Amino acid sequence: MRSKTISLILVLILSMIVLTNFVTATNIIAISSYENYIKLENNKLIFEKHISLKNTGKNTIIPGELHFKLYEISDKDVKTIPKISNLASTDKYDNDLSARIVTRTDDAEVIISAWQPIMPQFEYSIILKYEMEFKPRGILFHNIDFPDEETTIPIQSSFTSIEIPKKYSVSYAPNATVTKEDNYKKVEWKNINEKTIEYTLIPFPNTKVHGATLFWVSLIILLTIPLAGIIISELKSRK
Amino acid sequence: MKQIIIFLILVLSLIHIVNGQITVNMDTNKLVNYSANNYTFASIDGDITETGKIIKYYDGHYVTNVKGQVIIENNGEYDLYSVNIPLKRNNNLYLIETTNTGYLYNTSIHVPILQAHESVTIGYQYIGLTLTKPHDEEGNILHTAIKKDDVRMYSDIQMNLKKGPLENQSGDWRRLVTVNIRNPSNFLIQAINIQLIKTEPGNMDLNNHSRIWKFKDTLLLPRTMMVGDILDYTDQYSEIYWISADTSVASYNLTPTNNINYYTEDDISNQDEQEIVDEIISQQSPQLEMPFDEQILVKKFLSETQIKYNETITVKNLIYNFDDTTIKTVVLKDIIPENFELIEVLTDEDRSPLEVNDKNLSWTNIAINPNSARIFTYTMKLVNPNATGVQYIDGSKVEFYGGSIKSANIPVILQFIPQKKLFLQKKVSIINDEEFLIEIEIKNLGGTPVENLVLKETVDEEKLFSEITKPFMKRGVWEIMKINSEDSWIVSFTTNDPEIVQSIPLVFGLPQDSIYTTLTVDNQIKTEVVNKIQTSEKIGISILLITIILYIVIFRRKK
Repeated sequence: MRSKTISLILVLILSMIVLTNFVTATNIIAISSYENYIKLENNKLIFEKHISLKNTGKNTIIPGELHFKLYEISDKDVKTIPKISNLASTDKYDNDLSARIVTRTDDAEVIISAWQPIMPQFEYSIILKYEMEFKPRGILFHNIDFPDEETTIPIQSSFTSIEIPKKYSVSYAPNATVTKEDNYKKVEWKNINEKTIEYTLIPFPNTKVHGATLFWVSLIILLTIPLAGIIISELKSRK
Repeated sequence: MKQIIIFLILVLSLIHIVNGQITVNMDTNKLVNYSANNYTFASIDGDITETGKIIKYYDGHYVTNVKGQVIIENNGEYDLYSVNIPLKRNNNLYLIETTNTGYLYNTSIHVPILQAHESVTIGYQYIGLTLTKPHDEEGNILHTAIKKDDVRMYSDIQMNLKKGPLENQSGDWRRLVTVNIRNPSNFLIQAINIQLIKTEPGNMDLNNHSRIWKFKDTLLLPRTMMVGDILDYTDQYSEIYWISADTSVASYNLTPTNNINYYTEDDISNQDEQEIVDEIISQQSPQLEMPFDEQILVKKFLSETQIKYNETITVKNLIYNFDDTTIKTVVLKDIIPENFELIEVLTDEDRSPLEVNDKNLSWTNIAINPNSARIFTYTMKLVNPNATGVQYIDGSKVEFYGGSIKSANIPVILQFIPQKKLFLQKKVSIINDEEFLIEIEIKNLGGTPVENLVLKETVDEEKLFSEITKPFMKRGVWEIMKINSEDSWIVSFTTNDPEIVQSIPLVFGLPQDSIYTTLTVDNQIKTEVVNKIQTSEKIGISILLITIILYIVIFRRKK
């Protein structure tokens, strides 16, 4: 028992050392701005990411490779590997950056090579574009979550927007700004970690609870009240 | 008295003059600070004048745009040859000649002939971004860059070499070799390094010599000859002797004059126009100048202050009316700066007509409501691929009731690209709570191969150091023979030393300012898309089905 306690303390101390060093190491670079523009279109999600890397340290650094691990979580929390196409990456000045896709067992990885040196306090901007095959799940209401992106580089400012075709109504989008444009509806989040959007073909208002919940509860109430009436009158007539 | 001093110096220097000759004791000669009133060095005089701007950015980056002129004069009675003024090179500072003499190079000023009483004038420009101030306390960049100990000017000297016959002295074979160096001019010459080199018969490769004698810092008096005798103990008949002499007529006096303005990044406004308007409204803007009795303010904004070739930037001119009445007939004038081209004017022209004449933009009949602002926007593109360094974008001008005011100029950096040579990237991947996988990649992005490098990473002797992918000289030290241009050299290893996570390895074999190092910690960004059927829909559809079944059952029973 005593040896277990000592081991636990040692592991904790070691973890703290490792964590301290990890934090120190990651203090050399930050994503000063992470803008994620997503468009829903014909069973695919079109991503355009604008990323500004900032050298927050004291030495000139080179970002090297940036790894974007992409995967989809579907029903029963199963990870599926999305099909990625039309991959392209450029810097701010439209110079092509080397980009490739590596497909693994549980994710697809987009790797960008950026060998431009960044001087201390300077920034380097990258634009990454790709398309991801996407079949919305749901019966009448489709729900997509974009959880906070786990990253080894701290993100100082983030912005996400998703455009959905105008035939859909946005029925739930907490902490988001929803605007209507000519051909689409735009949902935007600024510095929000959990990004959820629910949309439907049914004309439905944007409410503070899931549209699916509201709709199905209302429908069931509407159907069960007459049914209950019938059952009650049936029981009374039997008596 | 004068003769006595000269005599003493000559005696001390172990030189004696015989019939117009100076004979130097080649074993002990050392005459560095020789001066005799009767003899002077040849000399060049001149001025280095610099004007321009240096902007200090972000606690230690100096954006430099300085124009200069160096005048080199030969005020003597004699011609000088190969006047060579070597310059220290700063990889991040570009030196460009703005005249057409062809005498200015990256690493030197070289004037082939400078005749008596002649002078040359060389114009130049320094541009770039450096990590340290580009000059010393004298404040002149070119003057700072001069390698003062290596300045050379040459005049005619006459050299010859006499190889005596082999002779036997008490059983030892030897030969007398005599070196004659004559100074035919009327000024002192400093023989900085005289080398007598011996090679084997048939060997013309001076690098593969069998013996070398070196004599440093010898003075050659005017119109005299230095004679050096060497007894070479050898019994080889056909050995070859070579002589080389690095001489200089020395002494230069270039006076620096400076008119450089210094700025910080605060001088480049990065506030956006809304912030300015907010500040004005809250009347907490003491840093803004309020001309025209605080009636009107004009300020220019650029969307970028570092601009690449072909990049389009947005320019906004904000005019704010502080008065309580509407002002009318204001005129705003702006100029598309050199190296740029107008792309599009985004301001609504109906309200204030715009005239575009070549590069001049002029908005007329501008009316501005009390305590409010008007913003005039256009885009322009950098179209000159050769434009580099700092350029000042002129402010815009507002004409108002017969007077005019101008907004501040804005400095921008055009196309700064640090020179690339050797990039080192160290990638740390965390394997588990204890172990790290370290990968060090050295990439040569210079134009030529780099050779004989040594990479040193500090790995604690007590810690794990395993799975090393490249053989090493000793723990944490690798010798890299060659990396071709664009090629990489990669080593990886596993360790449990947490200090390694934050250390940057050292590379030796190139100047440190040619090496860019980086440390990355497995840059990963996980993008997750959750696409599920909602539980409420699953329950809803189930209840709906049950309800429908119940309806069917009940209706059937009723029938």
